[in-house]
Amino acid sequence: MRNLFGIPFPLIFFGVLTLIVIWSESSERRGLETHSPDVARGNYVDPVCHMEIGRVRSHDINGTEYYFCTEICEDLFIEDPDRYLENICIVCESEDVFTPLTGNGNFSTTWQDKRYDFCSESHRTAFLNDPGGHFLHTMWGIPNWLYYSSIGFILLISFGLFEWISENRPALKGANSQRINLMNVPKIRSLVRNPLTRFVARLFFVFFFVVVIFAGLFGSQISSNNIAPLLTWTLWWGGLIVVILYAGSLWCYVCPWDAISDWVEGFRFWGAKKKGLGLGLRVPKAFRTIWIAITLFVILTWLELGFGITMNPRATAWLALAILGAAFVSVFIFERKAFCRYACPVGRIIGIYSLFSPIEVRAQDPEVCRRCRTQSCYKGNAKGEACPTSLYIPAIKENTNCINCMECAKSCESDNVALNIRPWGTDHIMNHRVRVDEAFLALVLLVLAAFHGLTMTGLWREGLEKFQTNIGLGHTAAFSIAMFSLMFVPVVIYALLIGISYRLGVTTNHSYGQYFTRYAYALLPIALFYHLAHNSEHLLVEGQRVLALISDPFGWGWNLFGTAGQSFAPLVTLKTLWLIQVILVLVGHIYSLWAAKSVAHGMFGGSNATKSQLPILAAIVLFSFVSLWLLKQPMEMRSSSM
Amino acid sequence: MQNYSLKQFISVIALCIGISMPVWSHHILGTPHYAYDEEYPQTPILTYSAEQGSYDVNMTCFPGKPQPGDTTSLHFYIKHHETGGAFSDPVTLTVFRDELVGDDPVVYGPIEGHLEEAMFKFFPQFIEEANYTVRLEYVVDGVPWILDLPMVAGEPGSPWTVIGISGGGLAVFLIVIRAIRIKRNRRALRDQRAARNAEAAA
Repeated sequence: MRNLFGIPFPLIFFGVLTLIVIWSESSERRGLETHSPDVARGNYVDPVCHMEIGRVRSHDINGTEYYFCTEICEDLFIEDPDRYLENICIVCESEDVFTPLTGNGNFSTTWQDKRYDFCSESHRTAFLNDPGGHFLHTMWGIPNWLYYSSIGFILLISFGLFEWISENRPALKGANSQRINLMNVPKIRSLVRNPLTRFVARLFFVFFFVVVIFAGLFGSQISSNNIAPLLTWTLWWGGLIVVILYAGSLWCYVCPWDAISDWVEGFRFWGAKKKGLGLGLRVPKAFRTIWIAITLFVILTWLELGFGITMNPRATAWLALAILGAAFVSVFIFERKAFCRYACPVGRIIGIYSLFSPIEVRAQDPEVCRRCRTQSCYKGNAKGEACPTSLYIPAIKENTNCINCMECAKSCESDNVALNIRPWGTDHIMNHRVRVDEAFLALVLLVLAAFHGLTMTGLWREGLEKFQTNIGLGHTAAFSIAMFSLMFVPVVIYALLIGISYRLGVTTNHSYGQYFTRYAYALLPIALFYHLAHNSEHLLVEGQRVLALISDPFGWGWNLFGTAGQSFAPLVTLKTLWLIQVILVLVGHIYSLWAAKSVAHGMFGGSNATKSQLPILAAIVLFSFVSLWLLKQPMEMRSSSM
Repeated sequence: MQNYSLKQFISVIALCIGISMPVWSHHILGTPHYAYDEEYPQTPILTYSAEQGSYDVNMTCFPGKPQPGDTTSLHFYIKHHETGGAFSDPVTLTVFRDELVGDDPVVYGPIEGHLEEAMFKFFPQFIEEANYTVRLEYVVDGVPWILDLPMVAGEPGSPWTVIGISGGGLAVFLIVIRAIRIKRNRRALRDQRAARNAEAAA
């Protein structure tokens, strides 16, 4: 029974989600098959929210069938069909379009076999500059019943059931002892130790990296016609969180930035590096923190949300090249992988989220390591490189800095390196090493994941416009002030709640800083699962567009696989997506409660633990409410251009 | 010397007048419409037309493809749909340089223009190779109208300049790293030799 919620749980969870998708999709489809079987294949645009849809509901008006994402749009349409059938300018939404029929002019164009009319030549030009960018659609948030029942569930589990279960079932902590070592499987062991394995995996991803760079720099700059933005921001960035959830730092194993800089500096493609071409200087002590990575991550988000680089193929390519340049400079100046360990925003996000992941690299038997005189895992040998992030295998207690390169598995003469599968969140329930910079990264991740969702709501757009008007500043200044102000609010709330917690647990010897740092890690599961919930809408609603773009990745009019110019329905309906998102938020909440409880018991034990945990419980509940509230908001998406 | 009849003379004159007719057709209602056409060897003029409210707006820009540093002639013709009358109130022109990141800085204006020979004339200079937005603002019956038109100076879309600079920078970086390594190796050899000599002397 204990194992049911241990190692197999991630797979059970995935299976349950898959079943929910199948059930939800089949129930949606069932109603339509009698109505119009063609819809199951089709790609229709909901006239109300303008979302591209497939297997969804329809309504007949004057002999014409219209298709809708949900009953929300259907009801709105039935209430006032004329409002949604009027010909409007897609750029400014003015009803004053000029068509040959009105006799006022002819500002029209055809795109993807459909005619569009505009109010003026300048708006037609604006549309032609980026057709996909003008298909703003509204994606409805979760309905009220789901929102309120989720809130009820959170309150119940937070202040009732969870307290009772965890008090009476200390076995929940037993997850720490569960491990399966994959290196005991001979085929996996030989694959991991084979130097060509990593080379081939890296080469595969370097190929896609080169495609993104080439498409971004030399392809069409219309983002909907270029594969670079979709491949980078929807598939890679969205999929990265899923990979972390199931495979931890696997991305670092294949990372093209690291691969290219490593190949050039080491002057070889595989095998242990003998002597690189770089200077191999030690990183100055002051820079042996991840503040640089945190700063770069904030800047990246600022660029992404404030200036829409996600919609700009060339900016996407430049950004990828800039990160490659940074990795390149670092590998030539500093020893090992200083960039990966201290500065890479992607690597550090993966690292801290990997505390939750079900994969770890550890010493199989610490006694063997104690007897070891060579320390090849740290220093390297002819078979494997020195640990790129300066870790000594028997000393690894958490996943944060391990980049899963598996060089230690190659260099260890005693075959004592284990690649373990373990339950989710194992590092969180252990008394792992904590750092102030990592605690701040955890908070920044929580805040920016939520901020990301907020910027896609109409509330944000309207609020920012009002703010801009009131303070009389330009968009950049207003956006920057709003973003940085909003970043500080949750951190201040967290700091205040920690202050209360500190007061309640004052009998212990821990400082306020220790409270602040330790509890910040407990918020990571909320951030991770909200991140997943948010990205699932990108992956499942927009990801299928890659099928069309692989036929014409650069927007040069190719049709390599016969799919160019076609549109594909989203992988799931909106109702299924809602269910997935809510389940993810709730699971993240439960894991955060578990992590907070472990932190409290690890620090205090007994009744003091429960008492001092109450404020952090309030913080977890508050952040989960915010996550659900964000999911409830209609999202304004420009998905047609991604 | 051959004598020409009056009939022949009139025919030649008529032919000359006939040939000159296309010259007149360059100006229809005061709006030039030269285009990027092989038939017209003139420097291309960029034209935009737009319809805003009850007015038609036409912009011409000479040269049509300005190079960085060129001063251009921007002419705006604003005519009423029905009456054909020129818009006579002042208009304001502002030119922004389109930035990938950050606010678009104003590089020209805002400058008020007045009707002059049925058009509004401006002479902005596009100093840098970049994409620009030309913004025309005017008020009709108390309603403000804004018209944004795209303008390009040089070929800012080409990534080769940045690639070249980055590649050059990278090459210099690698040379510096190599030079430091050579210097470091020499120093190490020198130290080794000095140590050996000291050992031998001892």
